[in-house]
Amino acid sequence: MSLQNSTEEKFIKFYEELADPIFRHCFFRVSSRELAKDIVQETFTRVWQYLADGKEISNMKAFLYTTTNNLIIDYYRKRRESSLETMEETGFNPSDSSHEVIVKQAEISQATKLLNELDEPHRSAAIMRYIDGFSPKEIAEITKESENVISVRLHRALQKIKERMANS
Amino acid sequence: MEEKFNKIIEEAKGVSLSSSERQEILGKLEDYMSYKPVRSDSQARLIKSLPSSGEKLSFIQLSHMKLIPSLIILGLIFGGGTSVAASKALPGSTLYLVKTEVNERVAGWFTFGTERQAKRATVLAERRLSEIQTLIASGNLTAEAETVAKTKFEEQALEANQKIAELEAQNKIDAALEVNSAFESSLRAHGELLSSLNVQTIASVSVEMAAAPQATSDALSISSVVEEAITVVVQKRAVLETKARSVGTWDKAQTESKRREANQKIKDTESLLLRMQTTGFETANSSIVRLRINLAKEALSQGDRALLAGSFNEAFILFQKSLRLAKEAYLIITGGVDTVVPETNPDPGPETKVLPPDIKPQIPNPISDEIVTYFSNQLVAIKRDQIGLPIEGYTPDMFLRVYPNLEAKDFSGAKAAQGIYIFKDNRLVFERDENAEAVLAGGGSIILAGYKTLLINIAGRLGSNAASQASIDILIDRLSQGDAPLSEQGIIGVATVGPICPTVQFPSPENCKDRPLQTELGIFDFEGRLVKTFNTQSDGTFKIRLAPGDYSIRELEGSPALPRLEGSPRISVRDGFFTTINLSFDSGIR
Repeated sequence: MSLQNSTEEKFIKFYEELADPIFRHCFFRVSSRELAKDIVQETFTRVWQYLADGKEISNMKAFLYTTTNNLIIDYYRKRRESSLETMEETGFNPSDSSHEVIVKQAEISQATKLLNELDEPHRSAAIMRYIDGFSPKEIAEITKESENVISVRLHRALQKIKERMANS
Repeated sequence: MEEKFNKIIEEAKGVSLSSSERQEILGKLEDYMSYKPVRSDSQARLIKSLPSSGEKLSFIQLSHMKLIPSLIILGLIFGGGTSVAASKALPGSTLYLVKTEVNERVAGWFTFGTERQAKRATVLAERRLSEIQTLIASGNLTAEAETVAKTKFEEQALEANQKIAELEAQNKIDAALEVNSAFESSLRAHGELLSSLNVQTIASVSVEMAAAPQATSDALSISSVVEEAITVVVQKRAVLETKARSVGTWDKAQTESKRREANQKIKDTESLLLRMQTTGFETANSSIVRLRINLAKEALSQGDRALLAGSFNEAFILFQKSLRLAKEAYLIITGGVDTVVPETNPDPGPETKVLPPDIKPQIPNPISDEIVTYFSNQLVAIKRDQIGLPIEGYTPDMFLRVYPNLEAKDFSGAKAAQGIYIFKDNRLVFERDENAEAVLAGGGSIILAGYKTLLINIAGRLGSNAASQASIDILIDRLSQGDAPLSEQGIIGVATVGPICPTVQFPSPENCKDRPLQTELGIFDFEGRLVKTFNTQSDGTFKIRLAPGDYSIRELEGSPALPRLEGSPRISVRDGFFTTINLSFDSGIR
C-alpha cells in the first residue's frame, strides 16, 4: 500500500484520538450537543481539505484546535449578525432568542453552569486550561495570543470561578 | 474549594461522543476524504504527531506509483475533471470504467477496517442497482450495459458477502449482523422498485404494442439477480442471528440504543410517507411501505417484551429487525436514495427546469432581495428548535419535515450551492452542477436565489403577492398549518409528598396522608440530556407532551435537598399514549 494510504490512516488515528476531546471542548463552548457534533465534523473536514490541497501542518493537535476555535468564533459572529438583523426587522424579543433554545437543550451540570457564567475570552481560556488540559503556552499558540495575555485571562477566569463557588 | 472545583472538572471530562455519533462523523469524514484525496503532486505532510505517535506522515511518491495498475495511474493523472464527470457515468458509457475502476477503487484504498470495507462494498452494490434502475426507467438499458451492470453488481455483492463473512470469522457478530441487515434492507427495497418498474414496463407494452419488449426482459433479468442476492443475505442473517442469540454480549444500554435507532427510523419513514403522499407517491408502493412500517412496529413491540424480560440478545435482534424493515420502507420511498442523472440523457432544457404550469406564480412585482432574506430568515427562525443549526446550510427535506403545508414541488427550480432542485416524475431531485470542482457536504444547501424561487413558487400556489414582511409572515403561518394532526403522547400523573407526620401510624390518620406537591422537575433522555422542564400543579397533577421514547425524571440542579424525589423514575412513552407515572417525594420527616 502506498505512503498516501499511510497519510489517510494516520489522519483517521488523529480523529480517533481527538474527536472526543474536541467534541468536549465544543460542547462547553457552544452549550449544544448537536452543534458541537457539527463543529467536530467541520473541523476534521476542513483540516483534511487543507492537507489535501498540499499544505503543511507542523502540529496537528494545535492545528485542529485552532480550526475548532475559529469555527466557534465564526459561529458566534454569524449568530450575532443574524440576531442584529432580526432586531432591526422585528424588534428585540429576548424570550425567543436561539441562545435560550440552545441552553435549554444543553446538559445541565455544575461545570456547564460554572463555565457559562464566565464571559469570553475568559470562558474559552478556562475551558482550554481545565477541560482540555492545555498549558498557557499551548493556549497562546492555538488562539494566536501572547502567553502573557493568556495567563492574565486564566487568572481572571479562576478568580470569577472562585467567587461563584463561594456564593453558591 | 479546590477539591470541589477538581470534582466539577472531573465530571465535565465525562462528556463524550457516543460510539454511534463517533462512527457517524467518521463515515462522513471518510466519504469526504475519498472525494478529496491528497493530490499526487502535493507536499502535504504531518511533521509532528500526537505525543503517542511521533512519526511523520508523508505523501505519495512516484516511486510507489509504479505498483499501481496503469489504468488507475491514468485516472489519477487525468485529475479531478475526468473523475468528477465520471462520478455520474452509467453502465454503457465510456466513463463508467473510470468511475468503477478508478474513482471507487481509489476511494476503497482509504477505507480501513473490515467493518468499514464491508459497508463500502454494500454501498457500491446498491449504487449499481440505482444505476440499473435509472437506465431501465429512462429506456436506455442496452444489452451491453445490462451485462456490464449485472456483472458489476454481482462482483460488489460478492465482495460485500465476503467482507461480512470475514467479520463473522473475526467473531464480530454484531458488526456482521448490522452490515448484513442494512444490505438486506437495501436489496429488498431495490427489489421492490425493480418489480414496480416491471409492472410499469409491462403495462406500457400492453398499451403500446410498439414498445420495446427488451426492456421488460431486462428488468425481469435484473430482478432475478437481485432475488438471488437477497436469498444469500437472508441465509446469512439466519446464521448470524443464531450465533448472536448464543454468543451475543449486548447489554441493556446497547439494546436500548438500538431500540431508539429503530424507533427513530420508523418515525422518519412515517413522516416522509406523509410528505410524499401529498406529492403523489405511488399508491401501490405506499401500501408496501405501510406494511413494512407495521412489521417494523411489531418487531419493536416484540423487542420491548424481550427487553422487559431481560433477554438483551433477543431484544437486540428484534430491534435490529425492526430497523431493517423501517429502512427498507424508507428506501422504497426515496427510490434507493441516490438521484443518478443519466449521462445519456440530453440536457433537459429550459422547459423542464421552469415551474409546472399549475404552480406558476402570479406575482405583480419583482420580489426584492430584502423580502427574500426576511423570508429565508423567518423560515429558519420559526422552526429553529426543530430544524437545528446545521453548519452546512439548509436543504429542502429539513423544511418539508417541519412545515406541514410545504410541498416538494415548491422547491422546483431552487438553486443550491452546487446545483439545482428539480421536481420531476413526482419527486424532488437534486441535479449537481457538473462544473462543481469538488463534491461538498453542503453542496445541496439552498442559496439566496433558491429561496427566491421557493418564495415565488409558494406565493404562486397560495395566492400571495409576497410584497411585504407582513405578507411573508402570513405565508409562513399558512405553511405551518397542516391538516395532518400529529398523534399526541407523553406522561401524566400526580406528585405527592410524605410522610407528613413524624411517627408512622396505622391506619394513617387523614391529616397524615401524603399530600400533593407543586414542584419543578426535569425530563431527561437516556443519555442524560435535559429534554424538558415542567411544573406540577397545586394539586400535584401534571400532563406533559413528549416525543415517543425512553426518559427519566429527575430533580433539577440546585433544587432544595428536601423534599426529595424517590429514585429517578424511568418511563417509556409510546406513540399515541400518555404513560401514567406517579411521583413520590420524601419529606424528610421521621
